[in-house]
Amino acid sequence: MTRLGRSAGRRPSSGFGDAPEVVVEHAGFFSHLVTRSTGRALRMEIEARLARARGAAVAVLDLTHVVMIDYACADEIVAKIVERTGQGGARRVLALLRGVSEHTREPIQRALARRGLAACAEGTGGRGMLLGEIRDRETRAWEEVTRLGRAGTARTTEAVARRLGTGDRQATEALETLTARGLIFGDGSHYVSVAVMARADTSTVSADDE
Amino acid sequence: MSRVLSVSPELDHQAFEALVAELPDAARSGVSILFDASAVTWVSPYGLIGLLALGREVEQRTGKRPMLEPPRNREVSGYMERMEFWPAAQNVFQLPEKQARRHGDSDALIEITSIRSNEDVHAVVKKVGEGARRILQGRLGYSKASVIHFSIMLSEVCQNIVEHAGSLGWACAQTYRWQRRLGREVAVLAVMDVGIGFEQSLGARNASTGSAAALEAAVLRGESRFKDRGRGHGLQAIRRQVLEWHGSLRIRSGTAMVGDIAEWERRLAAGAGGEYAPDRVSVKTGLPPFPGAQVMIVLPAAEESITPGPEAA
Repeated sequence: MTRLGRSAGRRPSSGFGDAPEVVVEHAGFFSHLVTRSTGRALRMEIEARLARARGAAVAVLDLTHVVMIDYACADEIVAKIVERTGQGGARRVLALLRGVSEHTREPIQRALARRGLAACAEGTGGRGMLLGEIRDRETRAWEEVTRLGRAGTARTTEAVARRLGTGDRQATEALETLTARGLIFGDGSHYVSVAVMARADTSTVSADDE
Repeated sequence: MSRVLSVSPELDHQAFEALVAELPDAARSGVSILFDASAVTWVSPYGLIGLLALGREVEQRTGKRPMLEPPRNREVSGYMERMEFWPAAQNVFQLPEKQARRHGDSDALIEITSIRSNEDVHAVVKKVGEGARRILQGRLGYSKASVIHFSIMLSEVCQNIVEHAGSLGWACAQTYRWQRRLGREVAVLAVMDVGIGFEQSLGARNASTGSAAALEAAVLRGESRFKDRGRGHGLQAIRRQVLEWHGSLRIRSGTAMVGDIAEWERRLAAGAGGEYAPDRVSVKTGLPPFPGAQVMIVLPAAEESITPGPEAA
């Protein structure tokens, strides 16, 4: 029902200063994800692996081959892992839901919203989106960070302010909210999208620095 | 001492209620009970597994496994075989040997499946395969995604047995033509158990609530016995899906039943001499007590507008 894999010990090519290595944990699910106990068992397996990361970690939950997921399983696997993404400081965990189909989207959306959470996701075609409880302002700021991929704080803030039609202070607030909710990574000098964090070869990602 | 409980010719949810009403008087310690189903000429999925639940409850009350006189009607007995009633019944009733056999292929949406663990929930969800697609899409006119939505609904309702009932339960589903009542086909999903019921389950967290209050809290407001706010999705999701398919949902537990009844069914009830109920949600109280939870979902064939046929009772 799950395949786990790790891209460990990778450090984004630039802009992270002395930030610890980023570990990407891939969890590929398949078949029917039903029952709370199934979800709990799979989640604990993933969490045990994430706990070994010394620095930041990205949990990539790949649902491409999932036939269906029920609400209980969506809550146990997705929502509870995402719930922990706002915690942990420098050892923070980020989550990316990959291969979200029209069948799996609704239970996940509802499970996240019920806990007041949001998560970064990619559809089956790879298009990025946010699921769960999210404000339009946060979505637009997130889209801007996603477009930039990785950029310095000043440049990101300026771009987000332009996108929102606000001043820098409101843009900074939006970016801090996204960071706190685990929807982007921010280390004080740069902001990085979760999709970029999750990519196997971060050196190929556009490093649009200051 | 023995006692015969006659099963109504139409073994449906009303026949189930009639038998439940007889239990306090009939099912006393040491009494041998015979369910006489010989006159049964029609059975619904709810009636079928209701008979299993009644049998299990009688054993609890009397200390003796009850007997069951099978229907004489060949169509009915053939249907019960196809629904795999007898393999489940042999764990509940004292049966004549010849009844306890397993049938091959059937046209059922889901044959009777015993639910006692998460593995059983996985198994019943996986049963919803190509046959279900043929029925839900082909006969009821539902969308391509309906099989997934039906499977999720089934999973959630069966998990309630494992998570909350602490007891054996059963699920089954069948489609049939409600010509007399509705003039079109319906799918009926029945799931029931004889466990602790909603009141005791929610009572683990709340003060004593009573059956109706517990049902309202869980079914209508999505409350759960757990503090975790991620809990309580399941019944809400089922309600939403039933509403989307213009269906009806009834959940009975203890001495109460909460219903979320489709407009077409309320109109039918009014046409049959009852009063038209303007609200979808209804709460019945003062029912004869019965353990566990009994769920019935009726899903009509998709139509722009559902109106009773000329034969509607």
